[in-house]
Amino acid sequence: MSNSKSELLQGTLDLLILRTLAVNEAMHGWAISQRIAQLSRDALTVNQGSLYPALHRLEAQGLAKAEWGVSENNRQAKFYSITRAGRKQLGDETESWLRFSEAVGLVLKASG
Amino acid sequence: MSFLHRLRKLFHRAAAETELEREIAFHLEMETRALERTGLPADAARREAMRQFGGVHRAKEECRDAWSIRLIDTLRQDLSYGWRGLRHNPGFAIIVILTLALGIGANTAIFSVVNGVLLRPLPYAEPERLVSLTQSASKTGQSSIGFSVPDFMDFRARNRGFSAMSEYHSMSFILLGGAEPEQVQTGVVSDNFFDLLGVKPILGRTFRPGEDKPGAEPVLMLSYHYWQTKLGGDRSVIGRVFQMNNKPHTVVGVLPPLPAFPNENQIFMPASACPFRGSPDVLTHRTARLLSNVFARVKDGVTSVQAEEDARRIGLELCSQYPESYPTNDGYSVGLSSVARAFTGNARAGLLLLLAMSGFVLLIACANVANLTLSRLLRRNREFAVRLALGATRGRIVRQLLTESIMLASLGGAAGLLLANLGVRGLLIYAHRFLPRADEVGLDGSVLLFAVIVTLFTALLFGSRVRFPADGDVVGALKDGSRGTALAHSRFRALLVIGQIAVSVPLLVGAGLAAHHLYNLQTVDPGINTSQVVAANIALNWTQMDTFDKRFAFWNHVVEEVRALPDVDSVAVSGAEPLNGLTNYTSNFRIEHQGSSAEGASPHAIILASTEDYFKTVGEPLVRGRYFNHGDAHTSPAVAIINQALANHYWRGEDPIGRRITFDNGQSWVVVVGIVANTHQRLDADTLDELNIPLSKTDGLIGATVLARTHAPPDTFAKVLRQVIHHVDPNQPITSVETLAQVRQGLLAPPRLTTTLLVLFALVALLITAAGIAGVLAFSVSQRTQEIGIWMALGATRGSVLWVVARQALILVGIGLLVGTIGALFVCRYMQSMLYGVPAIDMITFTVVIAILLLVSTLAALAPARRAASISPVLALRMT
Repeated sequence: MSNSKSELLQGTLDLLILRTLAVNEAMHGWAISQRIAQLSRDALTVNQGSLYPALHRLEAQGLAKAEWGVSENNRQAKFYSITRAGRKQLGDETESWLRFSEAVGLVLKASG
Repeated sequence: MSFLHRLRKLFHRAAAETELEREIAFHLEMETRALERTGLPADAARREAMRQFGGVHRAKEECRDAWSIRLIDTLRQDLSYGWRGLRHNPGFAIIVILTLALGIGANTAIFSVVNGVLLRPLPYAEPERLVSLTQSASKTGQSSIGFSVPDFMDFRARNRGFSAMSEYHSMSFILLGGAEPEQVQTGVVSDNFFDLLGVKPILGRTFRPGEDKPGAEPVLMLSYHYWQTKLGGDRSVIGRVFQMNNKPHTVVGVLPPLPAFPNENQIFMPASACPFRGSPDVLTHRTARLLSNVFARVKDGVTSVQAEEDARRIGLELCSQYPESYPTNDGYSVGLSSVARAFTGNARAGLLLLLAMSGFVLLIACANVANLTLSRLLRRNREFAVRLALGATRGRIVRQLLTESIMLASLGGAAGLLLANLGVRGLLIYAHRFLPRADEVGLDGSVLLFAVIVTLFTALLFGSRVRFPADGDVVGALKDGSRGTALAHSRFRALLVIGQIAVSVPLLVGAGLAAHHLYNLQTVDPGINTSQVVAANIALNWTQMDTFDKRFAFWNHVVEEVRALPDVDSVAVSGAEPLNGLTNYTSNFRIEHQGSSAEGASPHAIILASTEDYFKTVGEPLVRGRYFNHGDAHTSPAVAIINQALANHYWRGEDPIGRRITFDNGQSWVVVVGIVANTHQRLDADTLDELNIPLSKTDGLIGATVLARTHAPPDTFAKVLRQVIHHVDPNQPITSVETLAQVRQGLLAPPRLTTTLLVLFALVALLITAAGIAGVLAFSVSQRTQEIGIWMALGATRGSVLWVVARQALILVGIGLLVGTIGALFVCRYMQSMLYGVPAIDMITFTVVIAILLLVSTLAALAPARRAASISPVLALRMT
């Protein structure tokens, strides 16, 4: 695997998925993986295998909901969309994530 | 909402599974298409899509993790996996379940007895505040001299530390008014007795204040058992009138079921209703210590130490006030004992021993199951490696193994409970007679709880040692089974076996000591004839036999009638049953012209009363002097026959015949006329000093034993004897007729039970330990097959291979024996006071135990050693 791409930190995948769902209509898993790669300009590799457990986890926690629908190529697919609880969670998480990354950045710059 | 969501997933597993399948298939399809569009050929695109996705299985597994209410779901899965696993390996499952069932069953059975006898709260209010007062004369070996009525009155009036106090004694009376005249054991108590205990009647009322005062109308309370068995639980019994002691007694209440404490009383009456207690002598004489117990409740805020000090103070006051009435020279003292403690009595030490020993058995069983589980684990190592490679998490595997352990333990526990239930029932049939509170023994909630805890404990104990290849080593594990872990395991397994042996030693020693004790009791020669002597115990009807003359005439009449029987060699009446009750009564005396000995305690001895042919009947040979004879009448000068032990003790080198002793400080004298050989008064004690007086010089005895020596078969003669006594006076109840040999057997019952159980435990332990040793050695041989093959190829003989394996066994056994012997010494010390004629460190037992363990482990090592020796070097080397 390429070293120029960053592995995802534990827990950040959920955040990225919520973010992606928040600004889009209902999406299926593959589309979500594509969108995340695209948004991060391919800098983040989403391990596709771990995308689905994350989606199922969000669904089980009530942060996302899923429905079966018909895809753009006319196939049965499971579409995920964000819930009200998901939006709230996204807000909280985004804020703390920004604070966290800002802090890490400060530390790194100071010591560098 | 999300909970419902999970539940739905849980119950619609199949649907959820297909959905997951379709979802992932869709993803792969989309990805493949996308890759195809970049120009990849179809199958290459598909492969690349799969590669990017990563482990499909692991992803699915993690999705399932996300959905389910994990515990229930994985449990269900684990259970079905576990079940399948066990069914694949029924031998393993059966052995483990059986081993655990034995361990858990033994523990649960013993615990249910301990629970019923020792742990269940007494049915009294605040039982920890209930005490029994005792007056004792310790230097004469009398732990309790009882209380006289004036004693009791003074203790009750003068105490400051007790909120209530009640007298107690128990007598047997004839009750008239039921279907037929009946002998009833009657507790005679103060009016506040039941309030003091905190016992409420289930019917009617308890005694009212004043009902124990002289002249009060006699009333009765019935025990629950008596009410149920003799009166059929008749609820209209309140107010019914029975005749007792020639007076009408009215039933006022029925008691709830209570333990038989301090005696097995069928009914209770207030003090004033007992004719004996009411006689002027008893009421006024300070030394007429008729009352066997005084019960009291310690006041709130008073400690037991303070209460005891208070009681002692009263004792001292009484001593200085009435010096002639208290045996101050003989170590008179007043003491308190907890009622709760009195309950458990002698059973406590033995039961705790059994509980500890059954715990040891369980430990050994657990060690064995741990051992079995480990070797099964090693065989399954490859399976785990495969599952890890397929994406199972380590936690998941540990959990599944634990589930299997718990499954096995639960099955073992259930089987154990079944065993325990059978065991307890069997035990009670046998032990009912001598176990206090045996009625309360059974499988109740706390026993079940105990079994569950023990079961879970065992599951954790044997299920906790789980190791697998580290994640990084999956490949290694897949390639080469189990090498690395096997080595780490084998050290642990050797430790387990050492532990098993170490625990077996105290178990075996305990069993050995008990067996030695039992053997001593069985083989001790009491010095009397037991096989041809039949003993009939009779308790006279107190109201009919109210004078010495009547009682004495009755006994003489019985002796004459029995003597006239054709098969009788000799007959006598004794105040107590040989081997059983001879040590019940001891007294002090003083020898003429001898001061008290240096310690200040006066001589004392067991006092026995009998008629003239007693010694001839039981076969106690005369050493010097004469037996009692017809001339020793009520009005003749008092005479005594002493045993050799007493003669040696107080007349060293002198002739006691013709010497005089006194029981009342010189007011009257008793002449020693004979010396008889030493015999055992009890089976579990050496000969004690004994002083016999003729029955004619007693009060005529209200209860005694008729002894007849016969040359007829004792069983048929026993029936004849019963008839004859009945014929003399049908109103005098016979409590038992049996040969002295039967009396002796009866006395052996409790130690026999303890020994049987301990030996049983020891055998089970031995068996399990042997299996453990064999298992470990067999495993180690199978691990070292190649190594042994190389040795043999290099010229090692079969003998030297045998020795290598045997040596391994001997090292384990040696270390185990060393550790175990230390534990066994503690067992010796704990059991010392329960044993008769067994030395403090019983070399016989230790030698036998060590020999048995060595023998058994050698036998256990035999099969694996022979297998090692028969390894073919060629085949072994080819295995590489």
